[in-house]
Amino acid sequence: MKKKRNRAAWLFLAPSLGGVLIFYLIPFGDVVRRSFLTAVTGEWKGLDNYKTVFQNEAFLLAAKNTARFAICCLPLLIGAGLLLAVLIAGHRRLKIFLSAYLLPMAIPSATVVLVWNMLFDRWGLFNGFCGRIAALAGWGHAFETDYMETGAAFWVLIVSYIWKNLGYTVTLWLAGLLSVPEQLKEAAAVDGAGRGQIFIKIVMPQLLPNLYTITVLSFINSFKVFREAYLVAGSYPHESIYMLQHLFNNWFVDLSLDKMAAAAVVTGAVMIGAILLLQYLWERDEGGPE
Amino acid sequence: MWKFGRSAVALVVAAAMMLGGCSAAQKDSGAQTVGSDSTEGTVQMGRYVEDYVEGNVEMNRSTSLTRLEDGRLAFFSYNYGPYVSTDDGRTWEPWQAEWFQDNCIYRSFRCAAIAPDGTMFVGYMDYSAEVELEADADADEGVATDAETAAEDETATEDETVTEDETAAEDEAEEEGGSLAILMEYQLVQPDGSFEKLEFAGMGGEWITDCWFAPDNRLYVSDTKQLYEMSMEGEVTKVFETPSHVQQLLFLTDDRMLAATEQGVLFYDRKNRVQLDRDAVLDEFLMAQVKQNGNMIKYTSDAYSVYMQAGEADTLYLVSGDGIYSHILGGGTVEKLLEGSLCTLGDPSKSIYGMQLLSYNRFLVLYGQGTGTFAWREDVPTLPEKELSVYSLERDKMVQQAVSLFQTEHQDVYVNYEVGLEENSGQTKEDAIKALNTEILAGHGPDVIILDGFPLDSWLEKGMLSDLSAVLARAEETEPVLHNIAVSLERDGKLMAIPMRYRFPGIIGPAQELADVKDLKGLADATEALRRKKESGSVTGSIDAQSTLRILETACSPAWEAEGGGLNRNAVEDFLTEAKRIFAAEDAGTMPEEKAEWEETKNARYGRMNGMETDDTWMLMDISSGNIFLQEDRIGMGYINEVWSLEIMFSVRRQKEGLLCDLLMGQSDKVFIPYTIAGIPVSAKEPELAEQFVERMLSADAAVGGGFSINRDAVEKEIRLNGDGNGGIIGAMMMTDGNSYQQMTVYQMTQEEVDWLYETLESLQTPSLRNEVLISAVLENGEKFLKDEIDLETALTEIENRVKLSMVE
Repeated sequence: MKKKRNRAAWLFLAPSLGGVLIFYLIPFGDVVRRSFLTAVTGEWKGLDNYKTVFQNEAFLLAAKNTARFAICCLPLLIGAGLLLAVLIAGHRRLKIFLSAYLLPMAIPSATVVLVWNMLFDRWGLFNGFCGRIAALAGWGHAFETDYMETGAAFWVLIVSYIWKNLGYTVTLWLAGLLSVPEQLKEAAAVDGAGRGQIFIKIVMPQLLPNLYTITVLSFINSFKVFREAYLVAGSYPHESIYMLQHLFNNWFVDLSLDKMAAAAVVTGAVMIGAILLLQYLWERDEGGPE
Repeated sequence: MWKFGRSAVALVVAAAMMLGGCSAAQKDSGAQTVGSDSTEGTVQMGRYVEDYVEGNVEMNRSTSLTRLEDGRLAFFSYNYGPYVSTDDGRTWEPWQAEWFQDNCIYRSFRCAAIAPDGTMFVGYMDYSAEVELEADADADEGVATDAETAAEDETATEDETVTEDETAAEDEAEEEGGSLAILMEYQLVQPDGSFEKLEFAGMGGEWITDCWFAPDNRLYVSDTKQLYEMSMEGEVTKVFETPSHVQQLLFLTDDRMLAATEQGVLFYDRKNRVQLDRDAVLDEFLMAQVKQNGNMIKYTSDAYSVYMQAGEADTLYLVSGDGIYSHILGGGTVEKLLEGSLCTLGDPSKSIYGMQLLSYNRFLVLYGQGTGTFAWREDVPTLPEKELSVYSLERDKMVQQAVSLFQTEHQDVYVNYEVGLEENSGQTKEDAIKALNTEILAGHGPDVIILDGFPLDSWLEKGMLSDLSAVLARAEETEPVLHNIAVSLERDGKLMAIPMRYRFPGIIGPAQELADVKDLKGLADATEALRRKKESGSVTGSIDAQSTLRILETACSPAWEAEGGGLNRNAVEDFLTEAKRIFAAEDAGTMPEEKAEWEETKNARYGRMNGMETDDTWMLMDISSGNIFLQEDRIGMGYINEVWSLEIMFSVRRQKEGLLCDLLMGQSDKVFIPYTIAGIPVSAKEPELAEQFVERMLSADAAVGGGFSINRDAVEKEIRLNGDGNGGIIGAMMMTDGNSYQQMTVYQMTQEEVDWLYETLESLQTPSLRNEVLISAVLENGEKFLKDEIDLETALTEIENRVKLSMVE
């Protein structure tokens, strides 16, 4: 019986697994293969490509920026999302704003970039507004920075990423919050627990599976911020927002496929490692996903 | 049962999901010619094949290709008069030569028509009376005619409403008895050579813009708004109004007449004198062709973007650069009979001047340099079996011409010319390169690739391209190829890319200041010296910081990259320092109105205009030289792109004392900018055909479009285009500085100047491969430095930071 059920299950999974195999796993296998060969002639190079990648300044900078971006924006995104979700869950009337938070996800990147330029260009609205205030305060030309050409570009990218993905995170948090049984919270209240204690001791443990999902998805989405950075600043932006995808894009244009393949394998290994580590930590605490 | 059903459902769903949406895009097989849909296993046969014959006479600017009653073909050349052919257009001989010789002096023909009975009607402008021409005493009559024609052409190309403006100028000149007393006159020439001037009224003072004879020898003329019938006595009768002037008039067998205007085709019944309904399908097709070809059916050079010819019954044949089409009037389609790229029609250097139906399924097309006879051949495959693919990022006229030449000579090969960035496609250059890379990796790459816009260094280093040394060696056995240019991109003893065209930066200015200028520092010294001499007014012609940097960069950018890769900081520092001196000297005396005018026209110089990137035409030496002609004590710098640029430059030197013309020397020695750089990928599927194609590109007749050719014969041909190279007059140009006009005579180059040109071309040694990241970083930060917004150290640091990434990748 169990065998037959398993067979049916496999049959239903077959299309998805087949798609993943054909469109992801096999091509990635080809990438791994190419990472040991030369770009054009296909001759065996062994680990030379990996050595080249790890000695490449551009790769090291891009990897550093990408890691920095993930480390900076993930806690901000997760925290802000949780805060908003708690506010919305606690006040039913605020639920109408949920759609507003989801709208940024629907806006095309090209439009987002236009808004960026309007706001953060040297002669943009942000500088214009702050500049007027500075002038009134006698600070002179304090606000004439072109934010996309300085280190501030990194923070503009973070703000943009959080703005775009906040709604999605809030939705996931909200789903978790609303699924916490009311009886548990009421029972804790009857036992004398305050709102803070209820949240930390009752609600948060129930949200751990959501936290895992949100963390993994946000981590993967953090790699997609390349689109906006590329549209604003091109293939060679300010070094603070030069990400791994910029490097891969430029290597592909240059047909440096050997280096690209090696770097892709390294990046993939790091991502898979990070996700597996998260999973291990969750399961170890027995609060992770089933 | 249900368990079995579940498994079945699962299998069906799995199959549907796996197979649905998994089809790969089918590659467009190319032209859709008649009979092109091949069924599996069969090869469709039959297509039109062209027999191109180089003309034995000059055919540029021709009109009125007509079948005479005696069976001969005739046409009228505005430059050289009428010709006839007794062998269906293969060879031509002068006709009515005596009449033409007597009537061509100081006259510029504007319209002409030949009737089947041999009568001719011509209209011309007569410059003889009071025109200010600085004619050389030794110039022969032929050169004088060309001079008038060229001068008139200059005016015509500058202003599309030349007819109305010249009417006003004519009236004004007549009133004032001024120096430009140009008169439009008309003659009727009989078959026996006798002629009479035709005076007529009834056109409201308008000029005749064009004229045609119907098969029954009736004459029709048009102005900008009406079509008229004119009797042999000069009586004019209005036929109908037109939205704009009629560009071609066509006569069908049943007294119907078609008038092609830029707003569509008008139909008229000559017998019943009524206008007929329009043909929407024909209109749509014509409008699409017109839009594609600069919104013109007939260019100012008198060539046609699309020419129509009546066929049997209600059939209309249309010929354009895209091919030959046929349309049944009133029908629902326009059928393509022949793809333009399979014949000379696709060659952008071959202008179409007329078409004649020789017999059923045989056409003659009159080009500027020859004729093409098209005949249907049943024994030829509809599409050739072999395919050679050629790729360029942007459409390149030289490549188009080479495709056309190669196609004509290899009827068994279909040359598929693919352009990565078609107009209005919305793709960026990077998108196109990535798409091409994907094709190459998948094994579907092109056989010949034009490397302009590609990361050439990267391709050369990675061994992506085949060695072309043997191709060059073979070409050099028969063609005088400029070897220094051809091998300029050699790496490690391998020649993997050959530039087919190039241009170089030049300078013109006071010899006293420029004679000792050998580098950028010398140029800065000279600019400062000129400023001391001339307190106000521009001295370099590059009024703002960006244009100053862009002009100077043309002779300096190759020096900015260090030998082993990386930035040469010292060179960039020197560049910015000297550029600042030059800009400061310029800025010190430039007048506010000059700056204002420069700002107004800024967008036309660089950046975007109407959503399209403008090219570098403002940097051409023609423009800089013209400014030197108008103002004293100035330097002019710019690209020397073709022989015409040199003719202008040397003409200015001849007419203004104390000027020097030379190669612009900056931080690099003898720089040139190569383009149409051809290479053969190692993955080419037809390497032999690809090599033949590249070899063809090295030939003289493949040279067209801007830029100097790598083939010396092509350069020679360009020099001789305007005469015998004896320094005689080509024409005249009206130059204006906004306040007054001056006429400048344009001369052919003298032998000394020609020798200088060849010496210079053979000495060019430094190709400027335009590292866009580096150049844009220097221009952007350089501009801020020149305007004192940042200091030198900051500018250099910013440049380093910007290019560091591209250089370390």
